Amino acid sequence: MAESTTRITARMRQDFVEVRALIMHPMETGNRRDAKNQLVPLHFIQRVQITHNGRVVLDAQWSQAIARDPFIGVRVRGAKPGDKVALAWVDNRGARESVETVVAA
Amino acid sequence: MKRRTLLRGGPAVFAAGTLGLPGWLAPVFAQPAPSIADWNKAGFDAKTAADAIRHLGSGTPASSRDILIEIQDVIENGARARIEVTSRIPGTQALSIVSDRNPYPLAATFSFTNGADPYVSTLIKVAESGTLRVIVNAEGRLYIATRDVKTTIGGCG
Repeated sequence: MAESTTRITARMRQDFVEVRALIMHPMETGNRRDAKNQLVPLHFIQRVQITHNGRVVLDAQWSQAIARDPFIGVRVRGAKPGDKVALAWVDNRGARESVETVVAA
Repeated sequence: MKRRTLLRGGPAVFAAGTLGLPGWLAPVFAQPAPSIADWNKAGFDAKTAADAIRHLGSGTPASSRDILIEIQDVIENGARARIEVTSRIPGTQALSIVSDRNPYPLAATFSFTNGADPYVSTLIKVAESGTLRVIVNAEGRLYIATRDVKTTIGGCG
């Protein structure tokens, strides 16, 4: 867990809320070799959920083909400034993280 | 000893929370915890695009012009290819991104509920020049759009 941090922003656009998140995570494919020519084990985020006021708006299933330090942007209708938006993820080693923000005007 | 078990987290904390014991644990449960229990293993383990698509729903996907794929025609860095996908198909519930030359072609599936637009922006790895496919599930029916891309530097090292 120490190696990961997640940042999230939610901002009101014209008629939707734009949610953007950045997760610091190695997203190892299992095919990469390190400096000692050893294969780096598969290590990737498998599931991401974004909620708006506690209701799931996005449920993502990922493979190792999502780029290192994943970025995700989604758009939510019916949300307004002050609403709560949260993101939670779990990876293939069982590490988890969740973060919460408030929709900015 | 019990307190230590709680602090260490894991199943013990979950059990305590579901029993409604310590109030300070409440924030942990404010959001449903994502689970890998129903992660689409068969789809993600598939080694060809066709096999991956078979695990995204039933039936052959119908070609659609209402799936918009925004990505560079020539991807400079296959390890970080920005992609934006929008579905204009009514009733879109989920969309999946498949990169046919990746060792495991199914990259991701995004499901939309409770007011989320059928839209996603993300960064993916594209192993080498080939075809990207986006498969949309709308009310149980599958639709597909494809996009040929070239990579200058591959992205699955």
